[in-house]
Parts: sequence; C-alpha cells; structure tokens
Amino acid sequence: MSQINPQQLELWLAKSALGDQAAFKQLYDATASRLNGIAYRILNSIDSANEVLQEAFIQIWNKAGEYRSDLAEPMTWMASIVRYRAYDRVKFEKRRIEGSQVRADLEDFESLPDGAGQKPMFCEIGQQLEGCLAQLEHTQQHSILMAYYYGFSREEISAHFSTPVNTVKSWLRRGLVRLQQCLEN
Amino acid sequence: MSGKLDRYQIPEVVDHLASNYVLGTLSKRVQARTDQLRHELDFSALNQRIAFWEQKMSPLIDKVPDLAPKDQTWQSIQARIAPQKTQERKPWYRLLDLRFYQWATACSLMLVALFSVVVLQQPSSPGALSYVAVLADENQAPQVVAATYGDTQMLMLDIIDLPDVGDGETLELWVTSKTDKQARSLGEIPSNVASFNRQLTTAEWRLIKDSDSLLITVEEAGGSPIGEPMGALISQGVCVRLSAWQEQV
Repeated sequence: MSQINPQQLELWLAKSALGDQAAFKQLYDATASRLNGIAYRILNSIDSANEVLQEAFIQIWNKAGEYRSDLAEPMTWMASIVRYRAYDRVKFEKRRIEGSQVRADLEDFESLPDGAGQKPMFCEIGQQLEGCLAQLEHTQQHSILMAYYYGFSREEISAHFSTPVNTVKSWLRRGLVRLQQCLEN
Repeated sequence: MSGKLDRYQIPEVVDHLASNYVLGTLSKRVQARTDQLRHELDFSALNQRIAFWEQKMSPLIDKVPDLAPKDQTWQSIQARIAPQKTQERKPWYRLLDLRFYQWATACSLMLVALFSVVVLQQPSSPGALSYVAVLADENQAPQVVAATYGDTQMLMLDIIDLPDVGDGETLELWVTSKTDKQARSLGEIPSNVASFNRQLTTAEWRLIKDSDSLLITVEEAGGSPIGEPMGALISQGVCVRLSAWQEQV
C-alpha cells in the first residue's frame, strides 16, 4: 500500500471546498481504494462498501470546508467519515461476518503480543499504538480491535466471547482508559 | 441545557464518549447525543478528544488492504455533486409531500406521468428520470417515492412518511415482477432517514426493468427469513417506466 501524501490531500480538500470538481476527482482517485477497503472490512459486502463509499464522498464534498489540518491528517479525517457510516450501516443491516471468516481474521488479533517479551507480528501499525495495545489484557485488546476494525457492537463482542454485555463494557472501559494513559505518555 | 452540559465538562466523561464514539460502541441514543454535542452545539472539547482518538488509532487502518471501488461509484457521486442536477431532483418530491397528501395512488401516478412529459421536453441525458414509483398506504397517502435515473442502477428513495417499527422489526422493500408476479427483496429501508440511496446489482436492476410494482412490508430484523414478504404490507405503488428514458435504451 503506497503512502498518500497528506499535503497533496489537503490541497485537494481545500480546492474541493471551493467547488473544484477536478480536484475532488483527484482526491477520490488517490484515496477511494483505501477507503473502500476500510468499508469492506467492516461490511464484508462489496455492494454495501461501495454504497458507503459513495455516501462518504458526498459528505466529504459537502464538508470539505470543515476539515481542520490542526486536528487530523486528511486521510484520518476521511477514513473516520467512512468508518462511522460503515458502523451505522452494519448496525442497520444487522449483518455480520460469519464464523470462519471471523476466526481467520481474528488470527491477526491473536498475533498481537499480550505482554512484554513477545515479538509483535502485527508490526506494521504505529509503534506507539502497538506498544500500548500490547500492554492491554487479551480481552480488552481484542474487544477494542473487534469494534474498531469490524464494527462489532458490544452485544456482538459479548456473543463472540460468550460473556455478559456488562463484562464487555468493562473490558472496553478499562482498556480504553489504559490505552489513553499510554498514548498520552 | 447548561446543567446538562456540566457533566460534559468532566474530562473522564468526555474521553469515555470520545473513545467509544471512535470505536463505534456507543448506544444509538448516546451516539445521537454525541453527534448533537459535536455538530449542533459545537462542543470543541469533545471534538478535540474525538480527533485525538481518531488520530491515535489511525495506524490500524493502514493494515487494511485496498479494494478498488466500482466504476459506477464515482459516476453516482459525480451525478450527485453536479449542482444543477441536485436542484432539479429535490423540489419535486417536496411538492408531493405538501400538496398531495392522501392523494389516491392513481392521482400520484398521473402526477408522475405529468413529470415524465416535462422530462420528455428536455434533452435526454444519462441523469434523466428512468423509473419511478410512488408508494402509498391503504389510505392512498404517499409514503415513499422511489426513482432511478438513466441507467445508473442507483435506486433513490425519498421517504415522505413511513411508520415506525418496533424493536426487532424492519421495513423491507420488494419489487414484483411483471413476468412471474413474484416479489423479490431490494433490501431493508433504514429508519429515521429522509432519503436513502441504494446501488442496485445487475440482477436487481433487471428486476426493476421488469417490475410491476414496489411494496414495503414489516419484517423481522434482518429481513424476511424466507426471501418473500411475510409481514404486514404497509405501502405499495406501481412502477412506471418513463418513455423519455425508454428511447435511450
């Protein structure tokens, strides 16, 4: 996956905010595959991912003027729009990636180190985030990643782990507090 | 409001909301409240913490494999950001909503036919209205306008007035075939939206081209388990193919 130049994306976003459709097309060409991949990971449906991508880009076109470079990189901002729309969609559709694929995908999570001393296989993610995730308990770490990556609701995570929803809420709450403390250090 | 906002000044509360918002794990009600705080009340402390979490978690998205979108996706986006096309589409439905409440379905279809005459008088373009159905309830009150434009295979639903459904229930859209009179699903309709677009598959587009009418039924969450309408019929309307577009195909 090639890295997309944030300055170039910012420029296209700024031009899009002024109604420049050619710049918007360049922005789309540069980012649509990445963003579609993110939507697909959550929705597990090519049709649904494309629909979410379409709606997200309409939102990006309409909200380009609200992008703030001091708060987020352009790709982070656009990916968040896609993720939130995909989360809404997957909740609406109540469709879920099924058994075998969940297990296969969760192997990625299993490769995350549970503590000090293990060599992380999930090495392409940001070093700080990786280190902080590694400090979390297994269940906290997996709950956070299942929600972020696949749009799992708390109820779905509880079903996956065969544990009460309140336990999952607790995992998420404690995991996020620990993650926050680590990320801010 | 200020009293309610006070607790949102507590950093722990703000961070709890922000982190769970970014993870997508808030309940619907809390998420709606958070959206309101973000967008309507411009709650900058919350927006900053959401931005923090989005940025800190963003390395994870670099792990996701790219997936090229369909060519159709850009075409649909382009059609919707073209200013004059957007302006042409919207007012028509809004007029329906206000002026023709409880019209008989036949009258609705006459209006559609009238609109099609207007379309006929304009130069043909890929964005021209190609199929339309006005779905009405048993009292013939219009509830949904379904339309497609050209051969974009994008089904656009404009929700005028649909009833709420209970927990564990959903509204499902169906198309009935002229050929075999069978009803086939076009998916669920989201609740609490004013409009909804759905990119049709090639097979679904064929169904539209062969459609007799569209129906909406109440089904269990996730849609009818047998792939056929099971629940109460709440809305239906004849699907009209507009001759302006017909000449192009």
